[in-house]
Amino acid sequence: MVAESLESAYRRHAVELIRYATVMVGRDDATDVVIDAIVGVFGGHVDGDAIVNVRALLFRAVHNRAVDHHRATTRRRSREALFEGRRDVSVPAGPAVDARAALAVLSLQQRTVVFLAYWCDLGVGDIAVVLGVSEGTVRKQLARARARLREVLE
Amino acid sequence: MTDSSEADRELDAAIARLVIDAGSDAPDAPDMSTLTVTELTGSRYDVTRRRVTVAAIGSLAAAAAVLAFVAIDVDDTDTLRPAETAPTPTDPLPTIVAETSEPTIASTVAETSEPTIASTVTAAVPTTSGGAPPPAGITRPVVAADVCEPISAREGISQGVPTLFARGSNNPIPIQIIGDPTDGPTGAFALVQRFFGDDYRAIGQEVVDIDGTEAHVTVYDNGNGQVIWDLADGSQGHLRSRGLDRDELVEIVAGLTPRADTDPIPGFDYTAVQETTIQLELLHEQINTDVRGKVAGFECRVVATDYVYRISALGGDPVYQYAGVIDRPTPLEVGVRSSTVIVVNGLADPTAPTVDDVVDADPTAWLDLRSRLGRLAEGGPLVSVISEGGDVVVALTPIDDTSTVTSYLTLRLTTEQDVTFLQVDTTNAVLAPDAAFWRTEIGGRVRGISTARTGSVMGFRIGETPITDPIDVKISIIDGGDFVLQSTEPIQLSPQP
Repeated sequence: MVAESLESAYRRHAVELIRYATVMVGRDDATDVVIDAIVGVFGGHVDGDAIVNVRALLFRAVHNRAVDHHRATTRRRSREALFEGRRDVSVPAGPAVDARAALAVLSLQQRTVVFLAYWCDLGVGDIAVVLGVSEGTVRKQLARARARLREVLE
Repeated sequence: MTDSSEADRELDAAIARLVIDAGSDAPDAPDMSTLTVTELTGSRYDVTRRRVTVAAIGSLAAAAAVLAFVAIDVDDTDTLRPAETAPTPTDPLPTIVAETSEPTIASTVAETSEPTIASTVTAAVPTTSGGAPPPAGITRPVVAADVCEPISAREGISQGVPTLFARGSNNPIPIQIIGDPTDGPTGAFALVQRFFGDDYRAIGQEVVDIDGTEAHVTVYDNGNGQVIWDLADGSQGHLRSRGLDRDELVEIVAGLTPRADTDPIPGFDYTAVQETTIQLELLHEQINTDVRGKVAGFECRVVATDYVYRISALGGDPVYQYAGVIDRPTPLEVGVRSSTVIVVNGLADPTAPTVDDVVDADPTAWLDLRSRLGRLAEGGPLVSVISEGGDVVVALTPIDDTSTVTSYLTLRLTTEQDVTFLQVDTTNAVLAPDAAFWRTEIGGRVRGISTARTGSVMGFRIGETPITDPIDVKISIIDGGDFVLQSTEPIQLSPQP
């Protein structure tokens, strides 16, 4: 029953989750991040009855995996840069690389807030629920993100 | 979410475009019912990564939270090969075999065939080293001026698809794409919607009994098709197709089984009937309000023939792309460039631009094109004197050279409580088959976008009475891709007391 509920929720939100992951970590790793997140949700024996907002749960799971991935990638690149020196660790080219590069000036949480606000059309309250933070935090992050993007876009 | 200033609105639009572009090359979402995960091992300083592949397993619903895992080795350069432990025979039931290092994940191994693994890994993991980069998508479609002389360009962002084929609903609409996984939007496909709580009369050229259900089937000369059928629960199925004949439409509808209305996507399950002549599958599905996408449009003229062509680049969710292909006049050509669907509209002619001609414009040239008006606005405005209570009739002319239908709009100025309004009466309008929206520009700005219907009167606030300055007006019919199908000449209404 729980699995059915989560599976249905995943099926409904799969497209936006993979898109969200692409914005966060890039195309090459997006599938990994989503799968890791979903596997974590399923494997964690989540009590479906206790889940008020499955969409929020899935987004938060992907967000957390993206943060883990970002940290791991940063560590890996530092290590590679340290020991291998010449290795090219730049972001691979792709059709959306310019847009991602622009969004890369944001912190991961700011990127998440921007995605949820501008792609998912969520309001401040809904974003706060998805991320498990206060509405004030969302407003602050969104304002900072907009200010930063204004600089980049100008 | 946004402030009201123009600068903030522009910033919001720019950010929205960034977010859409940044996710435009998102891979396909992995299918939950056929999902396996790999776990990699390496020395402490190796790059340890996890990779995903696909293998057929039984129903996940039946297997509760059990997921299947197949081991695949990935080396530091992202070269993938099936692990030696990867089983090859096919077994419908997953068997618990291996462990992963992730304590919270149920660890099983599904048995699958190697070809499935290989093909899926290739698709899911684009080359990042040691191979050619994936082909670039197109976000600013243009062709060389000697092929087709540029006229203008447009961009549009869709956050939700409220209306397809000029039919909307107050309730969420599941949209499903049944097509060929290989041909994608370039081949024959059907877009199926299910409407709840609407009072919409099913009509068609022919009524066909499909398993006891009356289906109203229409096949148009241009290769499009439509089936509308009422379901026992009061909902209604509405299928639109491209490239499918009457028998194929009937076969598809026969293979559709309505889902429970509590399903997250309460559309249909699809099982192709045994004797079917077509091999189509349910490829994509979404609720209409969740659909996101972006269209970039380019309009150009071939000098030798004076034919006008419109080229659209559709990015975003697959459902959006399929809808963008079908909710418009029959394309001359459809192609896929990486994650972008390219559509060429216009008259068939040896000089016509093709999908292969389409390249990405540089940003400056694109902005210049976007700043130009459409070709109907190149001349001066048609000046009409209009008085309070009087009216002006203007022609609504098709700009598609293949169409000959001309219809008319009636414009009036009215006053209510010392405020002057412009009324646009659409009673005598005849709309193009793929009309989606009315777009009304007043004073050079878009003042209204509304669903394309006839027989209604649209009203726009002009200002406090009396109005003495001329009013520039242009009214158009646009399709789902934001391309103009019909338009008035630019009109300048000169109010007289």
